[in-house]
Amino acid sequence: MSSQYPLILKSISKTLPNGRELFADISLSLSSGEFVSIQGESGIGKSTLLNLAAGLDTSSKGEVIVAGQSLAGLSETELTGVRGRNIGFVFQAFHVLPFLNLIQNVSLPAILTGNTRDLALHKAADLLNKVGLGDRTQSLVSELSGGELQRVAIARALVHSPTLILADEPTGNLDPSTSSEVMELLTNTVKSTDAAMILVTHSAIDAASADRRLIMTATGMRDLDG
Amino acid sequence: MASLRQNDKSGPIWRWLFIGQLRTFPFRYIFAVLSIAIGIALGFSVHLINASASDAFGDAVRNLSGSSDAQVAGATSLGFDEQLYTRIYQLPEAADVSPVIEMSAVLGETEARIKLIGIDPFRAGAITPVLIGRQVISDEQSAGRTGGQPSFNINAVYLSDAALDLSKTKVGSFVKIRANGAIHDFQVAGDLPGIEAGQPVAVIDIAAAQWRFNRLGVLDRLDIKRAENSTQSSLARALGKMLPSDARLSGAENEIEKRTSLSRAYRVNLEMLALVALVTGGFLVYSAQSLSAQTRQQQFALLRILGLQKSSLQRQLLLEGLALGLVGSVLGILLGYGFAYLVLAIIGSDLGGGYFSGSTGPIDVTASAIFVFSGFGIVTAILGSFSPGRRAAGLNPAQAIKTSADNLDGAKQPVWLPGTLLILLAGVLVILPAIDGLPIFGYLAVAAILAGAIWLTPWLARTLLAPLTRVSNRDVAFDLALNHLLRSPTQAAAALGGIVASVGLMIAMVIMVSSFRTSVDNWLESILSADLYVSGGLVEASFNADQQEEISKLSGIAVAEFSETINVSLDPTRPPVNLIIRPVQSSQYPLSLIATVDEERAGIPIWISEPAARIYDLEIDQNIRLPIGAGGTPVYVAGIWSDYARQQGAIVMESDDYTQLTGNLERSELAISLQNPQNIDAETERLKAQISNIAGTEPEISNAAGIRNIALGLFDRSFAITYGLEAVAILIGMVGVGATFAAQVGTRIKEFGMLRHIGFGRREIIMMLAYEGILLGLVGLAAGVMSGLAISQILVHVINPQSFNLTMKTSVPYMLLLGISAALLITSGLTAIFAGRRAAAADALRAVNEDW
Repeated sequence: MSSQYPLILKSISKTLPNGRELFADISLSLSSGEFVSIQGESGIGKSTLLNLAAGLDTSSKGEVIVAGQSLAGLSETELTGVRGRNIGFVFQAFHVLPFLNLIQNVSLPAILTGNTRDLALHKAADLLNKVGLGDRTQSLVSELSGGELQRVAIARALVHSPTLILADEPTGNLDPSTSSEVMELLTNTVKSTDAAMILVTHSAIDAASADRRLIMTATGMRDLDG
Repeated sequence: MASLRQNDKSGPIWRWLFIGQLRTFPFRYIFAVLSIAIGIALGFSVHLINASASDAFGDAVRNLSGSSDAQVAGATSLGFDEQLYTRIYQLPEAADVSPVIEMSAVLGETEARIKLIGIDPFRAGAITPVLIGRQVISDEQSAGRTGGQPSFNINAVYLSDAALDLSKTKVGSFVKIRANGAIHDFQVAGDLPGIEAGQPVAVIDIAAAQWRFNRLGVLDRLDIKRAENSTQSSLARALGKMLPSDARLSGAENEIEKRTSLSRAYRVNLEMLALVALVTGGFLVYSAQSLSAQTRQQQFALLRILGLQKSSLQRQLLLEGLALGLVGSVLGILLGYGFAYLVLAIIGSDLGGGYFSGSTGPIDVTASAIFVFSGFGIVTAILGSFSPGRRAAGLNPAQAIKTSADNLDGAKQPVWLPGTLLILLAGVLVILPAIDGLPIFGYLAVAAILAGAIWLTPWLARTLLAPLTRVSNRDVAFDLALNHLLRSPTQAAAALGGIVASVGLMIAMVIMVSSFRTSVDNWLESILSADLYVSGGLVEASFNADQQEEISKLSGIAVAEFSETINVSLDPTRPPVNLIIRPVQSSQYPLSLIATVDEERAGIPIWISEPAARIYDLEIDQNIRLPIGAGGTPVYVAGIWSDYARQQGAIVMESDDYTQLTGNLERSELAISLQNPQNIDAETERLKAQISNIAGTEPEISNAAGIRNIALGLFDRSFAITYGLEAVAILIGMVGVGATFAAQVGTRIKEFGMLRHIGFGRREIIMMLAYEGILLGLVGLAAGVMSGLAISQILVHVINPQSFNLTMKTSVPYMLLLGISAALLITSGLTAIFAGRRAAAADALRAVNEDW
């Protein structure tokens, strides 16, 4: 299902099992190719917001629409399908499988979304090339630095041509110099596709590269640029 | 639907993940495969060996029965009147009848045990041609011939190849044959090419057999060929109408069924015991898969986030289980075949039970046996993977990706209800009866107790360990170890599954065998109260009335009591029981009675053994008819006595009653109380010489201590294979503890790295793991001992009585159990320390910076 809005959040609220309201009435629409950053204090609910957007968690109120499809009422199997087809993830801790080589790691989402093994490997090789690791497709994870690992994660997030990229503190484990390299690579690579991206970050520098900068507070979410 | 289709493309991912895991943790998987393989190998080899013995015995019986359509056999080992032969021969339903004498005999100087068969060659030629000898020496060469037909030569014997080998005799030479109290020389006139290999058989003329071996006027068997115009059932009906009480309709298949039914429970028990090793292997697969799933928790979470379905994830672990089971089963089948081959070649097929001694055939591997045993292995491995797979798939991926592999589940209260229900179920199963003589519900109860105990382990771990938190002045290493175990009961359960299974079964077996042995020992002590026991020796000679009187008057003998044992068939489909003729009210030769009639009444009393009471469903004071005396004899059950020697059942009859019924005064056994028992060796020698003079043959004399030692030696021999299988199960369990612990430690490298960072030395980490090992061992031991005690009671009071028709009293070998417990705790501690060396290595310092 295609839509010009890869993600729409309609007045969503999240109340924790202990009754504490994490956030309330947050709305957000992302257009194709749009890059939004979200900043905020630790524990304010940024990662939870990403989990809601990915269908990994359910909102207490409101509606989440991914690629034109409302996640409300979908079964776990259907949610997994929506996530696999439409969303790419980049994590702070990279999460690259240590016993697979780089090309196998990157090709995983493509295989899971129904590509043949050969096509998935071909796409993975292309993306590894784009992130500057084209000559190391057969390397093992243990041979890579933190920056290189995140490049692998970026390639993996894009291999199945998702419409939405969710990046949760992608530079959180990297030094400043590597951080800026990775951020540049992430934004440029995502921009080269038509995918929208939400970047959750503590770094004002990283957030600055976004089209829209949002900040989450206890009272809700507002646009930093007015 | 689209998402389901996507998962069908995930094949390469599974291969990558599985191969990756294999590469990373090869020993974990190798061990799981070996556990399954050893279990299958043991079960399969025991099956092959038993099948080889049964087949060989069956082939031999069919071989000797030739093409007869029916057989009539004696209801007792005394045989039946030979007049029956003529009467059956005249039946229109019978085309031909061949009379047979059959005895066990001893051959030549080597004293080889053989089957001695007497036949009428004219009759046997048409029905059992395999019994017709191939004449090698000519009549002129043979000595003592009585007629033109070589087979009529009363001095000629034909030996099968096995009998020739055993007696180290050649065709043409003379050989002594001893049977039924007589010894005679025969010339080996030829061989028996029709007799299958491995069967020691000697064939002589029937007249020679009757005349020379005291069987005049009786026959043991009639092989009958039915007339062309009759049917099998009409022949059976006609025979049924005319058979006297001392003869029974029989047949080759009937004989095979009798023998195999006697040993069936023993064989099934052995196979079950072998499968115990497989069950332990299954728990180790469970441990391996649980730990593997824990290690890969974040990987699974990532895959779920990337779009992998929950069901696919569970399928992944089941497929891994399938792969482990498949490889383990193939390996197990091959190992089992090799093991069976070696055992048959070196030891033979009897496996200590004594049911098939001397019967060894080729290994016959059937597709169904391979299918069943490999199926067991595969199902066990898949079941071992089921629960870890369910747990892995049930995790919330958003949470799981952020938590380490050493995820603690301490917030959850361990459940106790399913385990308790399983144990209650076992309580119901044990009161159900055997199915077709097999204690199926008893085995299911054992499985339910094991599963229940393992299910209760997390709860037990917390219940037993929680009070330790209140102990003051603990050291930090102990504190950390205790807290880790308290907050990870599921992890603890994964490590403990193998321990509980192997310890529980080991303790149950130890108690069962000890109870059995103690009961047998006490029984022997109660029945062996005479000083000396005399039997007819190799010639199986018997003492007539005059000889008995003469022996009784020999100097040095305080009391001499004579007895006789013959076989009696109460049911043609079952092996015959032993009818023991002896003085019953004897102080030196008591019966170990467990029940008697309140008052003696009119009629002939008999005392039946406990197995006979169970097999034939007989009760105190019940009337039955024994196939002895003319037309059979009505008797009543005056008592039931315990007997561990005769699994097929035994009946004791007062000597005078037997003599009155049959007129037979011959007795072949004798119990002697000495006037001077202190000088037993010298008295034995003196009496041996004197009895030998009276009886004309040298008797066999044993003293009570010697018989007891021989009996207990036989007992230990029959349990040798049991001990062997038990040892393998324990070994798998112990190594499993080590492998599981090492794997668990592997999942906690980050924790150890962090501890090193905050000032923990290597020694403290090793100490912490040693504490964990010992605490885990204690919990495993507690669960294992409790379940072992419960299982032992099922073995003693349900499975053994239902399998072997005998009861016993529980005897717990406390010192042995104490030793086993200490060994387990030491093994757990040492294994933990050994595994901890890796954790304490320098790599751990870097581990905190790693992602996985």
